[in-house]
Amino acid sequence: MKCFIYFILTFFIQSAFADQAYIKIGEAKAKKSSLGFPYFNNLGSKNSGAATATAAEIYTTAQKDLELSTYFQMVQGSAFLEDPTKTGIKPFPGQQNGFKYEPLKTAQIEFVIRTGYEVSGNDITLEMYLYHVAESKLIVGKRYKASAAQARQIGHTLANDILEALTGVRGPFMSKIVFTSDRNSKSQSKEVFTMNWDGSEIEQQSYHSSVALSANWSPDGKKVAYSVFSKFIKKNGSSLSNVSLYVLDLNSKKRILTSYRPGVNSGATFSPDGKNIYLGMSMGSGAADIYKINLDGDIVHRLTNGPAGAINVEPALNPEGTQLAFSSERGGRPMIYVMNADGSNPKRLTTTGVYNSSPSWSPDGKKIAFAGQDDNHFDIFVMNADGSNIVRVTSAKKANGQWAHNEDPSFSPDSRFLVYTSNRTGKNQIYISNLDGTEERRVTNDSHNYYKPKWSRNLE
Amino acid sequence: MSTEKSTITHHDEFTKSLGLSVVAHLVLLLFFVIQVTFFNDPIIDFSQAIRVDMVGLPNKIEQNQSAQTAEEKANKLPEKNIETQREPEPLSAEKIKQPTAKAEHKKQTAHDSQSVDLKNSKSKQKAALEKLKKLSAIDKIKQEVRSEAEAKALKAFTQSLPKGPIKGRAISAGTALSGLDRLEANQYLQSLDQQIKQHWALPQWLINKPFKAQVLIKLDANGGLISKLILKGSGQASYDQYCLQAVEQAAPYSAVPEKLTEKFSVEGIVIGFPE
Repeated sequence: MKCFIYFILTFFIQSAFADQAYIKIGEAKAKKSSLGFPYFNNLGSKNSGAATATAAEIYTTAQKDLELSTYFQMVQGSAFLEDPTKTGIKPFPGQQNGFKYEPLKTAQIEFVIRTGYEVSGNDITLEMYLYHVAESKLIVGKRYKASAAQARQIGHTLANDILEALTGVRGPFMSKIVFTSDRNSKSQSKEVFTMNWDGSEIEQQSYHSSVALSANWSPDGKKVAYSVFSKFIKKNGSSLSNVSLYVLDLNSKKRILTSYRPGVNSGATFSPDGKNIYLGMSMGSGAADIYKINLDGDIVHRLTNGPAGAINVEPALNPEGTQLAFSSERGGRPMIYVMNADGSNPKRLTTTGVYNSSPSWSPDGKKIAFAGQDDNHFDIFVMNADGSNIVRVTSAKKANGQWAHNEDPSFSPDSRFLVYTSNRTGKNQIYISNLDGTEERRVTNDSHNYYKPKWSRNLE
Repeated sequence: MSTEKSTITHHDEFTKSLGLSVVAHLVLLLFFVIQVTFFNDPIIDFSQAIRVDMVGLPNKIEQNQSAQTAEEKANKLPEKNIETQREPEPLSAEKIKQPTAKAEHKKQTAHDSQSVDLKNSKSKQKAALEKLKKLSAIDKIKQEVRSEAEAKALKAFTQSLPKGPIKGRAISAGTALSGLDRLEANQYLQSLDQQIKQHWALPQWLINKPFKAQVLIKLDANGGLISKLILKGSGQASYDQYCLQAVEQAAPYSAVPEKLTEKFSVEGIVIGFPE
């Protein structure tokens, strides 16, 4: 017994000796990194009004993008202890009159972007350097040369480069959004439009004087598939009304009537190789099913079949094109399902809410967004691709206190943002938000209606 | 004789009851057979049953739910209301909202035009520069005062060390901890944990990544940071940098209990980020 007590005692003492004081600190909080982005230095171009305006446009574009990324706390130009206009864009002592890291450290700036521009004739050359202040280290340096007319593209590309250097993923700032809208129309018609993701350069793409719906991008961003309410007069005088599928080449403006089977031919989504289209077709019956067709309109494969008159629509492919999410009412109410790209192994993903539709698969393959209804209004939700961890993204009221509808989500090319429509102003307008809904922006700001926005990939 | 007779009657009664039982069973069996063959109900098919969901969809995430002190929360609540009713401003127009703009900054940013106005921003820059220069001067003085205090503390620490030849360092109090000392050490480490946690923050792009690092820190008696060192790197330089930054920003720590000063200044403390 004595021996045992002795043993226990030595064990404790020894373990006390061996003990290295250790703290497990746990997971970190997320924070915004402070980013200094002083205005461009002029590297020797004459101070003409046009040159200054071009530089200002590039700067403003890049600055807005970096702000929107939600990664940064932007440090205003006035917070630099050393006047950026009087120091070079490279650090001292490598560059005489170069900037110094110490004042940036004192101002608690983590990263700083230094830029200079030079205008010669119609061309603008821009040098950009991103530095990590704490390590006094250059992270990335780039030189851009383009015509002054491309100022906005330079700004967006600069912001994309900064994000890629810091996070490993390119920003979404060179992408576009396709949608249908009643803008530019006198009657009830809706046409297809494209615009930059930030709402600039809205361009009409279709002219049917009818109702166009569910437009979507080809993977290379050069084509758009969309559907239109159409009426065909047959040779024998009888007519056929349906919703036909068109594929439009955005450069040549050439459009091809791809599928005009009776009933609906809509909700198109391209396969990743751009050679096939998945869509919902009703074949004249009441309920649509999901088919895979080629660009000539021939049916390659039928993926769903009811059961018993249940509709299966809105296919959304994963990035590999091996699985697709879709909405189906086979369980009684419309819910989000997922199946293999050949139609096998369908599985229900959502069991909450009363009406879930419009799935969108994130380009990184990890998330699925959808519009879900529980209290008589739709909101945007995001869940893991296996259906777990549903998060509500939107929640907005109209001026009259009624809940607004938020519908038709689509992921940004970097999978960090969603574009969707909301009728909180009384009109269906386009909004974007990050995935937890904490940073939301309104993209369109007018009195028209916008429907089913789809975000393109980065078009660089 | 009489016993034999009674066994016979018992035997008869047994046979009779057995017969009755068999007949009863047969009747029952017949009844079921007839019922199943002639009066069967349609088979109930459970496979077509529609599932009734009683589950609602989740509510929206509150902004910065956890990382707020009560005071901040009190300040924030009305803002949240404004936020939810606020119209997000258009992107296309010049007045894009600052993602960082809080309620108190709103006024300032409102008349702070977003488009680049060189003249205006230059004069503003000048004013701000001067203000910041003053601030940095104050910072400098503060730092000087702090370093003086640290120097003093170091002096006190070295003076407190035994003078003359140190004999039998091996059998001195040592760094072993037991009983109450151990309790004290745990309490101190807990306070350290709290202090570092407050400064343990990563940019969003490093959150939820499987990086792990260990930092060894050594503290003087007053809780000042003598040294910090990456004991085991994560393989991602910037992650390690943020770990070092956290222990640096959290310093100076609370004063080290007397019995622990030697242990923590020589052996140090290992901090696992995140574990």
